[in-house]
Amino acid sequence: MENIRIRPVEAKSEPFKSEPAFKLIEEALQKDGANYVKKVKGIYSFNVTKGPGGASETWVVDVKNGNGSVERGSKAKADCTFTMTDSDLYDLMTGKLKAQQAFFSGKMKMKGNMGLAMKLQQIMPATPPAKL
Amino acid sequence: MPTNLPALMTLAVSYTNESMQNQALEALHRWIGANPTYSSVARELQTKVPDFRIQSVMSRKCRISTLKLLGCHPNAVDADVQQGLGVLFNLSHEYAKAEDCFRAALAVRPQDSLVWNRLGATLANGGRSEEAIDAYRHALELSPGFIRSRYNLGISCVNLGAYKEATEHFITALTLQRSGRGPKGETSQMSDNIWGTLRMAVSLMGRADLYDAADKRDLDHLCRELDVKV
Repeated sequence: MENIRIRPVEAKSEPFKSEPAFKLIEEALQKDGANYVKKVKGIYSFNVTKGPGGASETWVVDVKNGNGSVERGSKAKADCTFTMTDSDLYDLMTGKLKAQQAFFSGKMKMKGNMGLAMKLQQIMPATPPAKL
Repeated sequence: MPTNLPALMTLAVSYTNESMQNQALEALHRWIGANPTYSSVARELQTKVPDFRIQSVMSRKCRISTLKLLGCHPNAVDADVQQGLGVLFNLSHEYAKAEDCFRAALAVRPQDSLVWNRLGATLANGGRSEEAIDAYRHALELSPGFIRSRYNLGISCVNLGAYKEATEHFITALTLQRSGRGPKGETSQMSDNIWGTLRMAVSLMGRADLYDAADKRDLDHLCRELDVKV
């Protein structure tokens, strides 16, 4: 008999496009958080707009305390706050959009500590180097 | 003193891949010393740069000594020396110079898949993933079972946002590893690096439903779900 595989019913709310990137950051922090905290020393907040169904959501990435953490829907006070659309943030997190380019084209609005904004690259998901 | 030249070069490359600069330099140094053509250069290096370390090796003096290696063969490009220099420039993150070296080596040995892969990795680490793909393609045409190059190709695909293609390359590489057998029939290990990067590609594709399979290393399940024909 043919094997019938049933896909799980989609959860009610569709996921944000940039959600996996936050998950990757979270995993990196779980693995090596203290190191990131030592280098970055700051709390980022991402106000993500134009998500699924036009929804907005906030993610707070704490790279200041303990081993760091990622929290969805957090109201925690951040040192540096970004506001951008879900799809632009996804491009930023996956390296398709450069931070500087995003800022100057108005795709990314920023409030707070500029020096910390420059360190954003350090927490973004990165592929391992290629092997010779 | 070991004098197996290819082994010493491979050792230097492996240390470079792990960012173990001093050990890589030491292996390169031993490689120069073990190479009969260049033993005089090795002696010269030793007197001029007694402390063969990354800080000093990139100094002008040492560079000149190293570049003298090229002068020993004025009429022929020595592909081995070019490869050694390519590794050296990778250590100092001078990717454009490393690229020149590997291309020079390829001019002499266009059928060497190892050199094609090294050129690709150099381009990729210098931020030129698109051009890297071309080099990996050459390597894989020459040696279709070249796992490291297949893995590198997958990494470049992730960097370019081609996640579906990336997963295909990682799965192919893992399948090759899984089917490998040792001389006594022992099964071989699948690489943590490849699994980790496959998981990253799967997650950036938005396939959170496949996390579990990636964590359990269920290759057959991923193969079916991602519709990969190996």
